[in-house]
Amino acid sequence: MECFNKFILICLLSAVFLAGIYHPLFAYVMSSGNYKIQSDDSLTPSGGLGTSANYIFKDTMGEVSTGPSDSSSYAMRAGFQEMQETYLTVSAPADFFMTPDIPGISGGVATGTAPFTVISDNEAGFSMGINASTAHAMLLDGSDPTHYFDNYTIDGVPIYGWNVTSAAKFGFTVSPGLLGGLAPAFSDDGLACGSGSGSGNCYAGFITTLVNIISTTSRTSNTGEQENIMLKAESNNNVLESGTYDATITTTVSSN
Amino acid sequence: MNLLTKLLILSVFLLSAGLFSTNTVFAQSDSDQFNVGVTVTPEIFCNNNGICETGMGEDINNCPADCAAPGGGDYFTNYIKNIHSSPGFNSAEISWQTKNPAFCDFYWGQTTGYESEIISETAGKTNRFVNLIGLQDSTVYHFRIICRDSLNPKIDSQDQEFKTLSIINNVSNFTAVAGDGKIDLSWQNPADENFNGVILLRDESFFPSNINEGKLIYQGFGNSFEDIGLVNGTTYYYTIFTLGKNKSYSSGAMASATPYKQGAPPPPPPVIQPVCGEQNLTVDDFNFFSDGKVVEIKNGSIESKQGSSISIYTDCKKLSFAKTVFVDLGDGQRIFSYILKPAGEEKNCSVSFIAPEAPGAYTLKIYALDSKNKILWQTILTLNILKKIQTPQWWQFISSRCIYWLFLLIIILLIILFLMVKCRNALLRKKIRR
Repeated sequence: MECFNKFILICLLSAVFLAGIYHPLFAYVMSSGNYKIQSDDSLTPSGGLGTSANYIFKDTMGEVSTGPSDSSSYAMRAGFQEMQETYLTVSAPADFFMTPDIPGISGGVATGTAPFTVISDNEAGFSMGINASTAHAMLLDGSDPTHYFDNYTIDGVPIYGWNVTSAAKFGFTVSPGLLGGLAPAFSDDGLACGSGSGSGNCYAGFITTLVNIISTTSRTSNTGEQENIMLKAESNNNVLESGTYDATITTTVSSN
Repeated sequence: MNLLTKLLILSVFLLSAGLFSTNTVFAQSDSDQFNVGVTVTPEIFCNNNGICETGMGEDINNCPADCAAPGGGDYFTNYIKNIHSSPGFNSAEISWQTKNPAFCDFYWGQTTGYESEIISETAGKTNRFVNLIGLQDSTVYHFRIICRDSLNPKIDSQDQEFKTLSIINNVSNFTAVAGDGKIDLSWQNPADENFNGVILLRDESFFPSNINEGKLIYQGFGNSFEDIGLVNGTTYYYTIFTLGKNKSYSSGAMASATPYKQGAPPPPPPVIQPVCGEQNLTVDDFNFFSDGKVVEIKNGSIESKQGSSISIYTDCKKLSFAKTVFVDLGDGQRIFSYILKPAGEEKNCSVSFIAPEAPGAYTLKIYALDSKNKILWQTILTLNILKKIQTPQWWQFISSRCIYWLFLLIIILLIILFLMVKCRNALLRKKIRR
């Protein structure tokens, strides 16, 4: 009996384990040039995909508003296929110039705000990262590697406050939307970065790899969440070649 | 209900939940980008000095007093105009125009005494161009133009000035020490105010001669770097450039090493190559500076002081036969190598480095290589590093702040003493008379 109990226990644990790991793969089951179908229910009793040499059969079961409809021109067989994904999108602002212009010799400070709108129905929220396309983010004409603003910090780690001496630097800080979720590195306690509830005081330079700036824990409203990236460029006691300096900034959001 | 039954029910429940689960969250991401720009405007300084300095951005719109249209304004403004100076690191180009063909004398020097040279024209012209070479970097130079024609005996530009650009020193003591699959690199950064970090490049064929060659392996303000993941038995060539805040960079310091497996004997030192071929180049074609002051060659030796900035210049045209020119500084045990090359768009080739901290005699070898790295020309000098006499800080303070007042006080005391002696003598004379 003792042996039988152990056998049953092993079987049960195996069943629990299999149940736990059973999830559809995070991929797709079929695709065309325009669409990818993420899953079918062929393993569940409620519906799914069936194929033979002559037919492809796809069924659903149990939904309201299903069934056949006919007109003189069309015949519709309505049903539902479930969609197992969260909606997630981020919208960057239109290209813009920071203001005011910076005089090339006497220097100055230019600022600008880039509002990003994130919409996500994922109950666990989303994470947002940011990066630049070039090692020095702000280049003359967007491509001249010999004339540039230095990145405010070289490793993407923010420091408290904005202070530029005998240099030309470009950096950013983050002001989160209503859901909060500001990354600790960009949070401040009024004196230093890394903790606290303050925002907008910890500045970092852009780097080419993603720097996490926000991580929320709940879904956004239908109109989305506005996350503001506050940009700043300053030249101090530093001669800059005159012209237009450009940076290409990319934000990436992912479901939590 | 025993434990086994409970577990059975639980597992069946979980299995069902897993099989019928339909709300699995798929990992998703989205990204978007935008461009942000800032406009840097050319700065316009209208200095109202009567000269239209187009190089500073002055034109008739923003600086009408200096750039009046022909026919208006005062006579001088219209006569010598468009004076433009383009300073480099150790040269400068000066151009100007005159209203009528005229003979001009160009005076220049480091002071308003224009002690360096007077360049006189022998033909009347309206457009002129003067190229000054052999200048010291980061130095203010004055010049003055006085022109004459058949009607005007003297038209004077008054004093003008420009400042040459700053050359940044190379790092000191750049060494590469080979290990097992790695090379430890170390150096000392210069104390230049203009210093803005270093760039370390690596190549497997030869020393990178500019920042666009080789592979960038380090950029920053540090003093060392461990280059790992290297192939034992392969020689790696490194060049480190110091960056200036004005986006300039030094000529480069070099080091190479060959990593080797631990326990195996280290690779032999490179064979010293013989000099092949004869070139029309002598050591006199090079100019040596220590802290900006000219250093003369005496008996094959030059002198400098510990920690001073040593610069070597020559006309790049004279090095046209060579692919690369190196300067080696040796102390008998170690050799530190630097590249001699054009600084920016200069016509002069130069190298700058910090003199060793230890006083003594060092070997300074300048040599030129061809494209196959064979030595085409070389010269060896002795660099005598003298001890720098350190003035105590308290004396520097006193001498700079108090010497004037001290001198004044001594004068006053002497006057008082003189008057006291005079009064005493007068009183004594009175007493004697009584």
